[in-house]
Amino acid sequence: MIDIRFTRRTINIEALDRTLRDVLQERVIGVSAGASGIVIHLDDSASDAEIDTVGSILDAHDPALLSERQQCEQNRRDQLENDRNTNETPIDLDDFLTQPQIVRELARRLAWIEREIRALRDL
Amino acid sequence: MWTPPKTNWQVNEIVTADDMNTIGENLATLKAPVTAQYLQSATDYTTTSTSFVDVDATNFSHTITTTGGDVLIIFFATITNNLNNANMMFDVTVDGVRQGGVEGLILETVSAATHGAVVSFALLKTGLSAGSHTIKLQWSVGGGTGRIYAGSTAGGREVAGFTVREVS
Repeated sequence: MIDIRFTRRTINIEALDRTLRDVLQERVIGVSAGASGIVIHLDDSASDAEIDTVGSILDAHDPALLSERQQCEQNRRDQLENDRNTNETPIDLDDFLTQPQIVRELARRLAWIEREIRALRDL
Repeated sequence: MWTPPKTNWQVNEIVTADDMNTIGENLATLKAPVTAQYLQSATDYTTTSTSFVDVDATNFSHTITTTGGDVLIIFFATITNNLNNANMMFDVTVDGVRQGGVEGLILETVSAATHGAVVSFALLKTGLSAGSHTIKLQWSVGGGTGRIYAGSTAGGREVAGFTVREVS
């Protein structure tokens, strides 16, 4: 294994790992970061040119840019937060008084599940 | 410095100053055995490596000079991974040789939904010759980004520790 060490700086390790793997593919074993800096782990078969490429990728790395997975996760959280805001008001069973019995029963159960979820979220 | 004690005393043999000094030095060595410890509480560690790599080749690495006794190796930390059900594996190398199996000494499956799992191990390394030995902590992940909480995460007060001590 070839360890390429860099001084400590702020990185988005997941995004940096993704970029490295996109460019250098199976040569990349992983990225580590900690008190002693950043280490890029490459397979022994990496060429000098590929080792040089690592430095260029790190120089161009913007920790504020999310990886595809991180962006999906961010979108999911945003959607969930938006849904929470949109559905902030609890179900009012009076709205279902004119509905058939089966619908009223479903609404009652939905209201119960809603209360359980709010309790789990300490709301 | 430990010196194997004289065990072939003869009747009427005179005790010399050197003999007494050796006993004294051995007692002093037993009182303060060769030890190296590193505690980190200011910087988290992260890795995406799916092969075993050093956690920190400078700090989570100890070189001690032993007298040929067994060495106790201790590690503890709080860990997590940004993926659900991701494996986190820990191991140590002694003079460059990893001590665990394919999945290290210990494996913990963690979840992003879990704040952190506590992992630790204590390994008694036997059979070491007298002299200098380097012991390093290593880790790898099955996927995702593994993290050792060591104080820098918001609200975290966790400490990760790595200790080696000659114990016999």
